[in-house]
Amino acid sequence: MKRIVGAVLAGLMTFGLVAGMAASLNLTSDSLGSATTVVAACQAGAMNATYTSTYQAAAPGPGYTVGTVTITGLAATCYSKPYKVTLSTAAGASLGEATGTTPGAGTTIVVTFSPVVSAASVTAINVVISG
Amino acid sequence: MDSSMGTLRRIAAVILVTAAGAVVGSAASLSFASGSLGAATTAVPRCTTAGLTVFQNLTAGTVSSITVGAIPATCGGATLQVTVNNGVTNSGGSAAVPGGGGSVTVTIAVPPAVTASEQTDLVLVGP
Repeated sequence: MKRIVGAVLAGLMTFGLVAGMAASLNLTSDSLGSATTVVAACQAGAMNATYTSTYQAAAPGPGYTVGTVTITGLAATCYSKPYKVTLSTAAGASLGEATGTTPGAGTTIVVTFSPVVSAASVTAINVVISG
Repeated sequence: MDSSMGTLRRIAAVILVTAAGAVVGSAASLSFASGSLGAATTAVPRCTTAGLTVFQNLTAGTVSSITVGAIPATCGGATLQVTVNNGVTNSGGSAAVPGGGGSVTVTIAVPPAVTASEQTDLVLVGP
């Protein structure tokens, strides 16, 4: 009896599969994956920039120039990460960009600009820390 | 006995189908993490945009010091740097601006000789 029932079931399954294949479409798909994650800053605390000005007779002088910017307020969560600092004009034009890696200790980043930029032209500072 | 075995088989089948579905579902998701990214832009303000007075103090044919006046109180605590350039050489010095502003005299380290014209540059750093 069990063999008969088994045979019937096997037959039905086979028939079903054949019928299913006859009714199916040939469909392929490119891959699709998605995810969302938060892009956060490495610290929320405020930082402050101070400037070291030096007189230079040659271009961009004669006049006072900025060659070093000292940024204080660095948090440990921003240690050893790549940074960029740009000094710019009121119109947003870049006067110079300095790149580096934040220190692994302390609260200060000393940023050196080479070549130096005209102090009179600096009206904005832009900082990005990533990684 | 047969009935209970059949029930178990059905449950097992449902679990298998569910598990297969779960595998297919996870294959469609991506797993990634993001590094931090923080950026900021801020203005570099001027402590004053008003005109300042600049006087050269001469000693024996050289510019020995510069007196900068009309400095407003908003510049109090800043460092005033001054450089005199006579076209041949240049020299300068610095001094702190009093809290209330006013007038500051900066001594020039190596006084340059007075010529037909000298350029005087100054910068206020801080406060």
